[in-house]
Amino acid sequence: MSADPRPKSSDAIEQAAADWLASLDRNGLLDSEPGVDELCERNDAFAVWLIEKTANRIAFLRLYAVWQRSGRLAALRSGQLIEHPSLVRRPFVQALATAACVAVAVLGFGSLWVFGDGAEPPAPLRYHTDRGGMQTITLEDGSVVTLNTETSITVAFTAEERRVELFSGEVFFDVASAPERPFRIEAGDGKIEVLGTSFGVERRASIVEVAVSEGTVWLNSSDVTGGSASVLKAGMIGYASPEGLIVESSGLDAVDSRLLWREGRLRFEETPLREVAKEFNRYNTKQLIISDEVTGNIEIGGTFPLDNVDAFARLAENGLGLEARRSGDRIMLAGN
Amino acid sequence: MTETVDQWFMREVLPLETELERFLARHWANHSEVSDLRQEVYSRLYRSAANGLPRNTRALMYSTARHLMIDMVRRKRVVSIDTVMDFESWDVSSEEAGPFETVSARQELTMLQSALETLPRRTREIVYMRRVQGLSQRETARALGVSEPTVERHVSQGVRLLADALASRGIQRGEQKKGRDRGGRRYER
Repeated sequence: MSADPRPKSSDAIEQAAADWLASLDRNGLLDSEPGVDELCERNDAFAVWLIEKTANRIAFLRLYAVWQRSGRLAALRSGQLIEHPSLVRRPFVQALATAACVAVAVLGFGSLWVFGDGAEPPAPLRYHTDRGGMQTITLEDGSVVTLNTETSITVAFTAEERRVELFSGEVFFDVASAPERPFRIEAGDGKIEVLGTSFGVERRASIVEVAVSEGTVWLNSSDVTGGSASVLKAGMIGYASPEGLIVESSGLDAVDSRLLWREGRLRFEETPLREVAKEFNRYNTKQLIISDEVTGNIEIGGTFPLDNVDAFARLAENGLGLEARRSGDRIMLAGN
Repeated sequence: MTETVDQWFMREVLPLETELERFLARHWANHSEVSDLRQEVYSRLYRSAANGLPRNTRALMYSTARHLMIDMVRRKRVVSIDTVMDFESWDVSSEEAGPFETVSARQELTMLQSALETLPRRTREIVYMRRVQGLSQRETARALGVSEPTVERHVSQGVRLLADALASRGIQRGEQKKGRDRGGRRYER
């Protein structure tokens, strides 16, 4: 409880918060909808104002939430898409009924998707996130897609099908059931088709990774043999690459871990530090560098906030006895 | 860590703004003080959440609002009799039990659109270019032939007005929909 229960006039604080928001937006800092802490890192004066008192932070968060909501107005541009109202709670039962999950990763595939049916494609809508960004969008059919860091997709819906292309990054899909209107995802060499389910897709190099938490997903790869296909069930992770298709039954826990980024966390299990660093570096400007191979091979486990590299580095120092050398946007981890 | 509290605040608290304002307006005679009260409720909620996120945000919000108003009443020199009466016969359980107000994506869009329409013409135009057409502030300034600081000022004004319009829009919608079944009338003066 505050010492003084009489509130200060909220007007001046709200005005200051609005001015900060407009100023940050003018400098393009709000485009990827970063968290407030990240904004603080990018603008010292803002950080000073923000931490001065809780009321400042609150006022900013309130306007920032409205600002993010107003982004949904972009749907007016085409009438095709409505961005996700974060205020909407999806009914739990419905979430259960449609829940299924796929994570797909593709890397290094350069060519664009070409519409194969000869029909005039609708003008696709493009969405992207910058490094560290995350964005949730509700599509016109009620499906919800969540874009992870550095992700770029286009969405093109027709009466016959729902089509999404993933150019880079990772997406979690919660697809509304519409059996007469298949939902197709093109991600480099991987093609995914579902009728109504949820899944996440990541495109990294020449590999598309699909992790299914519930439901059924059809995964096709256009590989050297001309293509192969597989049906993925809950708990399975599929990898499509130019060499072919690999499917493993990893279990639901593994799939859940794989998709923990949606909650802003990363989970590792006996994961070499080199891969841990790579994963953190996907989300942060501040990069973790592993000094040598021995250090890179140290295996770690645990769950970490994906945007707090500093906390992880401190943990590596205290818990693993490593040395963390900090310079600018780099943290070098080395064995002692 | 603060990021988590921020996320909680944006996800759990802000969506309750309409009902919080409705609640404060119903129990507080001086309506011009409602936004000050709202801000103080938010600050108290945020500070308490920093020590651990509450399990029931809505219940905590109502009890925080109630305690704040009691604090205020105790310190205020002039208090209307009605206000004091209200506090004594206060039963918040009916408010806390209210269902979550859910809106579809389409309703949300309609709400945003009508909120946008309440903005003054120039501000509306600039918010439209920035948020609907996706132009940057610089591009907006160039397209309209005005300076960037001017655009920035309109963006600042626009987001405030949008926030207020959205909150009051919610109030109207909520009152129409469930004014009757919430027992709120008991508290009206």
